[in-house]
Amino acid sequence: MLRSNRELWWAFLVGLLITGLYGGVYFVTREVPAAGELFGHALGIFGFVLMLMTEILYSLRKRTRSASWGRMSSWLQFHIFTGLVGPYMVLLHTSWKFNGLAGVTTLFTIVIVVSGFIGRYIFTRIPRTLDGLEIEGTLSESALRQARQLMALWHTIHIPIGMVLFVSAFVHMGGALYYATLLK
Amino acid sequence: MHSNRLGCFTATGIIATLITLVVIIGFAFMNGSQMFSAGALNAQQGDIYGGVSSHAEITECSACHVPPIGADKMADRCADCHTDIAAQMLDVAKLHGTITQNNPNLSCRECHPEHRGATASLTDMGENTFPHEALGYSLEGHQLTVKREAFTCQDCHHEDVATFASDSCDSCHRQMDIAFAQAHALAFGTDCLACHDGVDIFGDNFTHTIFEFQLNGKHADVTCTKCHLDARTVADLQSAPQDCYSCHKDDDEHDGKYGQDCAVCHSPEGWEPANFNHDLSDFKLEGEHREAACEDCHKNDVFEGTPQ
Repeated sequence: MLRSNRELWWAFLVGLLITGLYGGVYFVTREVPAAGELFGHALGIFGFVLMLMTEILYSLRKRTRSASWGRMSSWLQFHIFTGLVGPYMVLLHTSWKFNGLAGVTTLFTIVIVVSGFIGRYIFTRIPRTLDGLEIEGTLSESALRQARQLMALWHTIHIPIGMVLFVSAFVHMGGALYYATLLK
Repeated sequence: MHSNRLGCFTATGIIATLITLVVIIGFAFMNGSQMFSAGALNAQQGDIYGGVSSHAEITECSACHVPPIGADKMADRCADCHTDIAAQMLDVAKLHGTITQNNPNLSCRECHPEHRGATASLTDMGENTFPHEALGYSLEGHQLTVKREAFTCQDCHHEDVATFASDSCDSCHRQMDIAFAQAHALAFGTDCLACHDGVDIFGDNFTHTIFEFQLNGKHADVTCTKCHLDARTVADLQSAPQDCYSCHKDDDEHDGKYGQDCAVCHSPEGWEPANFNHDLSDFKLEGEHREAACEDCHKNDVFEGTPQ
């Protein structure tokens, strides 16, 4: 499973494209795209949708044992792709200001990406089929047990970080809607 | 290891959610809605409105922010404190009145953004059209810079649109015609706006004929400063003397004996020929006197004390 780094290259390419767009908007307007204006806001909204997809779709697929929903390895690649592009868009949405709750949300966005990277490399220590099932017998019993423990520990940390991130992001959105977007 | 619950519904997930909510609510209790602030409010001290001398002194978001539901608008909150501006908005002769009339739906914040830092300018027109002429200076004559590019606010205002950068006229007009710019500044000073309003009569198409004092004959050739010496404002220009004697006293060969109104006999075409009308003197020429030669009465070119 995850024998290539294809998703990283795709994330890099799309990131480059977004950077180009961002640079284009900056060049035309001569201003850092503001979080509340068309481009900056779109970055935040689509970035967050990608981040939500990162979490929800992968979690749902993980709990569906049916291979007809696509291979687990493909889903993990998609999870990594959206998990990189989404946060990058959210980072550009900040307009490089990190005040209050929005700043905290950005901080947790960065933390979750770093945590995700760590998780990816723990995950790949356990040999798996393309459908994500562990392949028995290739690792020694103790190495497998260690890897499983590490994976469980990582889950215990990664998921709460994600929850803090999503809760603060939703409250941020509520505040932004109330104090800015819907302001008359 | 696999459970059928979604990650967010695991014990750690739920605990993290609850802790986050408690922390956020706790902050909200301690600092109001400050955590939603998009950036520091302007801290520059000004006149006192609504009990504060800068926006930074306002701690309650709801002092300016209105709920999305309800008739109240944010502009109403602005007007609550900025009563002078609110009054201006009702008077089309005033700047904010003109703006309001041109764009009835424009809200204050579209030109006066906040939360951009303690020292950031509170005025930024963005895409809005500013009725610049309402401030006494039209941009009609300033569409393209000397480089044939569109003007930006910063070209003339530099950092702050509320203040005019006094060197901005000079820096471009020197490039257009350095000799004229230098001579003009020397003659009339460097406070360009004291005379110029952007579409004024003192532009490229300036002609003196629109004034009461016509520049005919030799007057057409004299330099401006000959009459408008040390003029620094329109009022100075207008106060240039229009009577002959103010300028021509030293030229008077009659030493004042024939009065100060030279134009009775002379014209701007030159001192010669003079058009002397004897009937304007105390001794009118009537009947045969009209035919007499001057020398018959004025012997030896003496015109004074002639017996009547």
